[in-house]
Amino acid sequence: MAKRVLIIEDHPSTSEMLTNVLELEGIEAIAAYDGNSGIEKARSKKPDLILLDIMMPEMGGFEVLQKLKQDPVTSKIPIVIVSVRTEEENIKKGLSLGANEYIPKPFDPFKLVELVKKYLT
Amino acid sequence: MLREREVEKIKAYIRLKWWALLVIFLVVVIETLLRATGLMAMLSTYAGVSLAAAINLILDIQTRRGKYSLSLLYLSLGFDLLIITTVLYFSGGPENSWWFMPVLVIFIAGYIFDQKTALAYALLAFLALSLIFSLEYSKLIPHFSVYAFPASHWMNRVFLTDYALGMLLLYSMGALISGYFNRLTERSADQLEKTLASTLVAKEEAVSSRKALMNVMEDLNKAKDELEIRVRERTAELEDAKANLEKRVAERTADLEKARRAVQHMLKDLKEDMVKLQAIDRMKTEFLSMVSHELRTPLTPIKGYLSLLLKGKMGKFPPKSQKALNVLNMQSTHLHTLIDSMLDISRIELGKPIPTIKESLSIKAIIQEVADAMEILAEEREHHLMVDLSKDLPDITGDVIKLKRVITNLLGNAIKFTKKGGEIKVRAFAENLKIRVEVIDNGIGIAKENIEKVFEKFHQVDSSFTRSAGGIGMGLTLARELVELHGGKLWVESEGLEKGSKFIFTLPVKGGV
Repeated sequence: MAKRVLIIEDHPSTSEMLTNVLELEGIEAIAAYDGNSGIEKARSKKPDLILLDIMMPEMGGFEVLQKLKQDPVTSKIPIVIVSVRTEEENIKKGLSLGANEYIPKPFDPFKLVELVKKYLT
Repeated sequence: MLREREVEKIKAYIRLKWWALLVIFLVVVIETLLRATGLMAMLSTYAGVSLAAAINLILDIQTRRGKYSLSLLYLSLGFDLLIITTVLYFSGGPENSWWFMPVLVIFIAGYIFDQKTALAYALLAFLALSLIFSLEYSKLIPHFSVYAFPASHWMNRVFLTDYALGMLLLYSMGALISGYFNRLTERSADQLEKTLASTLVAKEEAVSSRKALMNVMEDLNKAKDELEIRVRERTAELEDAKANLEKRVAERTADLEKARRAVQHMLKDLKEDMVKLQAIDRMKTEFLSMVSHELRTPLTPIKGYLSLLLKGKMGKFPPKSQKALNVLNMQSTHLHTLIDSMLDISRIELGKPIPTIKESLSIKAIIQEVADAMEILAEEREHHLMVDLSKDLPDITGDVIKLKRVITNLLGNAIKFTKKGGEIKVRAFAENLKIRVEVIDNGIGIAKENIEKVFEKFHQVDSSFTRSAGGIGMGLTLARELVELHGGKLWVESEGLEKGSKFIFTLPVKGGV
C-alpha cells in the first residue's frame, strides 16, 4: 500500500514541486493550500506524514501543528516543517510543539525525500 | 634812650608833683584864710609852689612831647629841695618841724634814679639845712618867726646840731631805703621783664605752634575735603560701573539663555533625528530580514525543479539545454547565498544569533570544491588560479555552507579586484593547532588607511568600481563574522594600492582551541 503524504503549503509552485518529487518516489501526495483544509484533510485522509509550511495566511503553521497534536486522530502523524524561517527560536518552537523535523527553505528535494522515507518505514 | 620803665617813673613823678603842689597850695590857702601863718611864709610858699609848678609844667610839656630829659629832672628835684628849704626858712627856719620834707624828694630821687643819687640829694638837703641853720645862728640872715617861739628855744647850738644831724640821719635813711626799694623793684622788674620776655617767647612759640597747628589743621581739612570729593567721585564712578556691569550681566544672561534654548532645540532635533535614524536603520534591517525570507519562497520551487531537471527525472535534455540548466543552477545557488548573506547580516544587525551546524569536515575538500566552482569565473577574467593545499590538513568542526561562503567571498573578491590576467593563489596549511588559509592576489590592493574599513558594512573600496563589479559590500563583514563564529580570525594584509592583497583566516583544528 502506497504511503500518503499531506502537503500543507499555501505556495502552489512549491506544493506542486513537492508533489512531483514525492510521486517520483512512489509516494502519494495530497495538497492542502491553507491551515483549515490541512487539518480537515489530515483528519479525513489519514496521511502517514505531513509536510507543513509555517508562513501561511489565516491560520499559521504553528497553530495547525498545535491543533493536529491536540487531536487524538492526528496526533500520531509525524510532521516535517518546511519553512523560510530559519531562526533558532522558530526551529525550537516547532520541535517543542511536536514536529519531528524542521527543514529550511530552499532545500534539496532529494534530500527531503530521503528524510521523509525515514519516517514512512 | 631812657627805658620805658624810667619814662613811666618820670610820668608818675610829674603826676605826683601836681597832686603834691595842689595839696600844698590848698594847705597854704587855708592857712592864709585862717591867718595862721606869717606873711613871708605865705608869700614864700605861694612863690615856691608857683616856681615848682612852673618847673613841673615845663617838665610835663617836655615829657608829653616825648623829650625825656634826665638833667631837667635832676634840676627839678634840686629846685624842689631849694624851694622846700626856702619856704621852710621863711616859715620859721629852725622853729619849723617840717624839715623832714626833703626826705620825700630824696625818696623820689632814690626811686627814680638810684641810691647814690639819693644820697647826693640827701647831702645837698643836709647842706642847705645846715647853711640856713648856721646863717641864722650866726645872725647873718634874719629870722622869720612863725610860731613865735622865743629865740632861747632854738638859738641853741646843741639843739641845732642835733636837729641837723637828726635830719641828716633821716635823709640818709630815706636815700638808703628808697635806693634799696629801687634796687628791689629794679630787680623784680628785671625779673618780671625776663619772665615777661620768656613768657613772650613762650607766647610767641605758643602762637607760632598754634599757627603751625592751625596750618596743619587747615591742611588736614583741605585733605579731608579733597578726599571727600574723591570718595564721592569714586562712589559715583563705581555706581556707574556697577550699573553698567549689571546691564551687561543681564544682556549676557539673556544671550546665554537664548543660546541655551537654541542648543536645547538643536539637541532635541538631533535626538529626534537620531531616533528617526535608529528607526530607519531598524526598518532597513527588518526589511532586509523580510526580503530574504520572502525571496526564499519563490527560490524553493526554482531550486527544487532545477534539481529534478538536472537529475533527469523529468526527461532528457539536449546538451545545450543541459548547459543552460547548469548555469541556472549555479546562479540560483549564488542567489541563495546572497539571500542567506543578507539574512545573516540582518541577524548581526539585530543582534540575533546566526544558526550554524557543527559537524566534522575537511577544509581541504571545501576549498577544492569552491576553487573548482570558481575556476570558470577566474578563466573568464584570464586569471591564473593556483591552489596549494598542504597534504596533512586536519579536519575541523564547523558549518560547511558558512565556510564555503567565506572562501567563495574571498576568492570572488580576488577575482573581481584583480585586473585581467592576474595571479591568484589559495594556500592552506596547519600551524600551531590552527589551519591557516590565505587568498593572495596581485590586484588593486588596499590603501593603508582603508585596511580595516574593508570589513565595515556596505563598504566599497571604490563606488565606480562597484557598479561594474557588482556586490552589495557586506561580504567581508559577514565573512569575518562567520570565521569568528568558528573561533577563528580573518584579516587582510596589503602593501598599498596596486600592490595586491592577502586575505588570511585561521580556524582551530578539531579538538584544538
